[in-house]
Amino acid sequence: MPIIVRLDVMLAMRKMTSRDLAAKIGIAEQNLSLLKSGKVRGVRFNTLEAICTELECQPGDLLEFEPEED
Amino acid sequence: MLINTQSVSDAAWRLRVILGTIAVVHVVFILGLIVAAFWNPAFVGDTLGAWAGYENGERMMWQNFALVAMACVGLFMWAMMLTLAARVFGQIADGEVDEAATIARRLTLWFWAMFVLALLSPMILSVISTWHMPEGQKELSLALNSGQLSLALSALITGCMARALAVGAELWREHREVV
Repeated sequence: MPIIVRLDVMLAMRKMTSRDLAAKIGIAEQNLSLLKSGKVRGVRFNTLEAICTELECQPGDLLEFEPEED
Repeated sequence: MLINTQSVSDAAWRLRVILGTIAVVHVVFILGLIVAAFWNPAFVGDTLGAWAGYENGERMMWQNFALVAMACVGLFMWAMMLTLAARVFGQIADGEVDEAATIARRLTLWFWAMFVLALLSPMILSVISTWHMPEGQKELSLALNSGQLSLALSALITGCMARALAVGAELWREHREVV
């Protein structure tokens, strides 16, 4: 998957657990875990906004693009 | 969850209950018809014959039971279709749209089967009801009426609904994979 999710890194830097973040932004912890592992089809802008607000970061801090090698 | 499906689930649940209840009523009718047929086959045969438009004389015992069998087959098919329709809405109420689509496809096949039965019934009923009549008064009828056309239309609509449910299920899966 070319899009790498660095949410676990940001959570560690902000010393916050997935459960706390999920509760604060109002999504299920299971969905946040799926997001962390990159096993989602997409992220809504309002979810991204809520995560960036809580973790005081930019979307680029959470998402990284690594093109797949042919 | 951005989409509130509660109103759809509630409506689907109500339909499930209503259709399921009507299906049970059909089963009760079938059982009642069978009991009545054994209790007074001539009366039941005459009544069914009159409903089919053949109020003509003393039928033989097998004719009466054949008419009862025809009526039971029709009632049974309606009961099956109502049960399947109830299950479709039950699955929608439970959020299992994929399963609802599968059952709707089966319901479509039952509608087509009912359409075929509706086409053949006048012919079969006319033969059964007039078998005891003298030569020249026996009948073999064919009929095409709005009831049969309604069944064909219902089959087409149900088939389209099944496809729409399948597409809806795919969209719902995609929706759930977006956080």
